[in-house]
Amino acid sequence: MKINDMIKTNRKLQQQLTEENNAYYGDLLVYLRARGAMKKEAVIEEKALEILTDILDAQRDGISAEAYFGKQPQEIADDLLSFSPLSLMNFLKLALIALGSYSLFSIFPALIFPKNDIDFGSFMVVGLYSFISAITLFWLLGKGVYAKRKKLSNMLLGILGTLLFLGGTLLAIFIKTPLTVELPGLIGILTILTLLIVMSILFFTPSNEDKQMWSTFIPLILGCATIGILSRISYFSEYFETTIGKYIAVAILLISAIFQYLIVYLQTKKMKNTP
Amino acid sequence: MTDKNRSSQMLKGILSGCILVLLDYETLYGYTLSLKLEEIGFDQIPKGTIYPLLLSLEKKGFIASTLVPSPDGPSRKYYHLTNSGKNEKAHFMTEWQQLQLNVSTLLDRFS
Repeated sequence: MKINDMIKTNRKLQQQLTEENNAYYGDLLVYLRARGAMKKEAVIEEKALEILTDILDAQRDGISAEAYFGKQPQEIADDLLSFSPLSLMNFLKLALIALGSYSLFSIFPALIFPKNDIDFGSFMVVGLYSFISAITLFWLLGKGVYAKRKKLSNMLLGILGTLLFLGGTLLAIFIKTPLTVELPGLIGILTILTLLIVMSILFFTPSNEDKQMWSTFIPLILGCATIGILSRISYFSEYFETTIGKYIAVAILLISAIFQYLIVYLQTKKMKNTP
Repeated sequence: MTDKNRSSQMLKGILSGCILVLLDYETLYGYTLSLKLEEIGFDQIPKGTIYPLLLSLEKKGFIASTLVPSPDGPSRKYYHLTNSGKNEKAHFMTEWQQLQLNVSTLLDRFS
């Protein structure tokens, strides 16, 4: 079974768990996934699904997840992780996806106005920072699952997440490197179109099962790309220098943001209604 | 190594051997295997313990698995012994019988 199919089946089966068993299994799953980030994903997901189906069997026989699996799930999960093979390739793939996605998604806002320089050095620094932050948060998330003061641990994780996000935003604003490129006129338009093609290929690739999550970014990317292209065409470029032109640019971005919000809203509603 | 760790390691070794014996008799999946172990007398052991052992035995090539569709829900992962698992089972049984004999002799003589 493919990894994505296992994750989907797991999500579906969890709905059959009682509230108490769901809380127990949910913790175990978060712990296994968070602490197993550098392990072979297929093994982790396969074991997680196997445990879930067995917990469901026990539930049918009137046995709770805790009574079946044990009162020290962390110890057993650590044992499981110690027998799961390491996958450095998976880790590197994840790192590349994280860096690549960050660069692709943050480059479009930077391409809105032709006079703005594109700082590739800054992209690389913030991308690396985001990746390290994500791995740190992931590791702490796993550590917090079975913490004695779980609420405090979750609160600290939330605060750290916010601080890391603010740190990333400040880095993106203040880090300036000599690796800057100006992309005016036709070169800029061709760059935007190339990036759009790359994103479309990535989005429509047969193995991309997370279309729903990525689709939320489409309106804003298209909004930025539209302004980016129009502001580089001489017929419109002067217009975008005027106050009305700037208002129109803001309006396009606002409409894109509204569409983005609508997509998130509809997806959340759909998820809630899925049995 | 603490006493708790030592006894836990010993128990895991014995449980692994028992799993090999059971799987040589019939193919089982996690939950049914746990019920069999309980039936034999391992009722105080948290059943979660068997999953790392199954993974370890599978990694060593002593057992293999097949997904079998189930009428009660999702497919179940049934385990069976491989040829190298059969050798390991024989090895476990010889070791266990020797150990049992040694301990019985000791108890007969000194208790």
